[in-house]
Amino acid sequence: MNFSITLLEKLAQEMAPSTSEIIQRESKMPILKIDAKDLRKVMLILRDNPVFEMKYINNISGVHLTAIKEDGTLDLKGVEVLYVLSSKLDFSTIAIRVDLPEVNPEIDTIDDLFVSANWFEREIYDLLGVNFINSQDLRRIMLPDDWQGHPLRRDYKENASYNGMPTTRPNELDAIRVE
Amino acid sequence: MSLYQELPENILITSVDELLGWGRKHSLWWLMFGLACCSIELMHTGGPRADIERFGSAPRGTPRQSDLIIIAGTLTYKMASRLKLLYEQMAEPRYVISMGSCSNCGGLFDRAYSVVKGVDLIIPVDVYLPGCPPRPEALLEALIMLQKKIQKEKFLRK
Amino acid sequence: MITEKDVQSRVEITPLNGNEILVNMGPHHPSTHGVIRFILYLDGEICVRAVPDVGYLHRSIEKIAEGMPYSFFMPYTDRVDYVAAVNCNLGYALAVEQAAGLEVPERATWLRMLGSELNRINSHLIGVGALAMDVGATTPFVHAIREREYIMDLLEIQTGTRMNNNYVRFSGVCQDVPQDFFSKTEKFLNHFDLFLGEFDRLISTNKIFVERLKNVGIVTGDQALSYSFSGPNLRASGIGHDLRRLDPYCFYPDMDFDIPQGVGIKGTVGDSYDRYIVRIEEMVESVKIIRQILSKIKEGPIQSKVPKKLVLPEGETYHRTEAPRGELGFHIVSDGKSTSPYRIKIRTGSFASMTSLAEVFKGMMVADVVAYFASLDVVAPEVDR
Repeated sequence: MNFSITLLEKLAQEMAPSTSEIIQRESKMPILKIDAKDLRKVMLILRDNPVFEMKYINNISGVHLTAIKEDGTLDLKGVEVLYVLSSKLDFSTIAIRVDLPEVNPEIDTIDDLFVSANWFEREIYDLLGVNFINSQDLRRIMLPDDWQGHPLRRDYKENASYNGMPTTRPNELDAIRVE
Repeated sequence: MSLYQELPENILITSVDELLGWGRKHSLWWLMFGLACCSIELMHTGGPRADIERFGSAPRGTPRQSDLIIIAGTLTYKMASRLKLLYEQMAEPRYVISMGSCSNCGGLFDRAYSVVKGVDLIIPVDVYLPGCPPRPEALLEALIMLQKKIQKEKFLRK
Repeated sequence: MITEKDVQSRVEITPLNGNEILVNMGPHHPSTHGVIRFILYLDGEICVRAVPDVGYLHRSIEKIAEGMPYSFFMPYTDRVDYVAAVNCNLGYALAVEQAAGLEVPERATWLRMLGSELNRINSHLIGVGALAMDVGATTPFVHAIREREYIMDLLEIQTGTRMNNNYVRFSGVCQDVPQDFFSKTEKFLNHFDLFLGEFDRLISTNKIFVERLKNVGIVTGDQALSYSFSGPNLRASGIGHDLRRLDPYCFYPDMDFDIPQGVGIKGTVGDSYDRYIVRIEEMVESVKIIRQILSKIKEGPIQSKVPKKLVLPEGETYHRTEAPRGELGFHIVSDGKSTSPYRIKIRTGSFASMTSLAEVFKGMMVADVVAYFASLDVVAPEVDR
């Protein structure tokens, strides 16, 4: 699958003294977990160092992490952002993960290092509410500009109507259904 | 039209309503409003096998020159205001065919937060065509059904 | 209910200076790429600034996935790219099978490859036909539609429907093919070779077509990597990466096929004519692969046993396959306990191609804008999902 542990270990060495941790070692995709403040340093190493030469972004995606407490309610634990990059030389791939807090999640942008990162970051802002500091252009991309809320979060509630159009369709069978 | 065979000298006796209906139903020009997967079947209906132009229907790019709009695909809230504008720009008499499950009732995406659950929440619809996507022959059947509706319309009296 | 100020764009519109005019290439236009909108600032014929605006077909597929079991999500992957539905089905099935450790019988793998290569020819025909129609030649599009009708007949025998096939299941395929299917496919391939020669004589060497496309929208290899191009767009810029060779899946390592690259045959490397020729040559390679599949396929079962309640182990995984429009990647997150995925993110090739537009459109004339965008072969549901 081209995800190799040796590349991750080399990257962890280059990053010193910043701390990092390798998780999911035995699975098909080992991931390097770093702090949010080290992101730009790591991206510059990956892009410019001749060992890596990672100039191609495969994917940037966000996940809203939650857990279920004992009484059944939802416990919101923050947002995870996963970066997957590939190398120019032999297309070997590397995965990096950053965990952000639940209140005001924000992280540095990388769209001055990689041109295509801007649209991926705009999508994560639009659907999950993560703020990318110093971004060139942070606007909503998939939803209309006056939409309220961030839909892919687990605590998102839908409104009853949008600009006069109802969001549910009346079902004629409901009137005759017996309780 | 049924008296045609009985009068040998090519004299036609009919009503004005029927004559106008016959003329109008055989030249319905349709506005290309293909949004999603159903638009590929719309293109195939205009293709060489199931040919829609033999019914007199030519595709137009602008609503000012068309009297039929075929809504093929999923309508989202972001696109809904454009549909309303285009429908209001068409001149009367105008007709609407809703093609596919997504524009009939939301279809496969009726749990989605950004999809309008049925085009008839916004504009009035004449013919509903089920399918995901409907075959080109099904779209021709919808057109023929609309033609039967137009033939019976009393056009000059409101 | 809907007023005029709702329709006005809320995209940042800077004041016009000097001779500039503002042209809205709106979401509804008589081109076949779907609902995508551009706001162009023009100084005469030359485009000074361009703002692409997408999201008119955002159907919230990723949110729907969080509420249903894994196997219920298969019809939604058809609608991610509706002209190449079997390829998208295959990408999702391979991602889940890799994470869960499921085995696939041999005949099912051959049938999956056959369906996806037929769909690759289907998709490239639309791409090439729409490019010809946008540039002005209306006849090749109808020729392409005629050939697609034959392929859709074959897909109807194999998968059950013409479009949105929903063909691949976990550890197998949904139905077997009848006895005379392979002879019909062989007959179609013999006819298709002659058709490709006729198509080449029709437009590939036509002087007007070549002049419209050569040296338009030149994207070098390094630029293509920074824009995250993949698939035929990347190969046309000189970098010969194909995921069927670099990251192999199914039985592609046993197949003998070339990987066409752009060499600047009529202009420079990485212009729109290269992107067109790479797609034509890929159709020839797909025909080669299908002939090899027909000679190697054997009898056998088409589906293995899958647990009734499928639960993936806890963690996340990212798997990618080669779809006709580029790299199709599935990032699946599972919490180890429930039968529905926690999060699925779909990475498509068209979304990455759109990131190049704001830079490349600067300084181009309006007619070249249309030609460059058509050569990228973008479909709207892949951008918006």
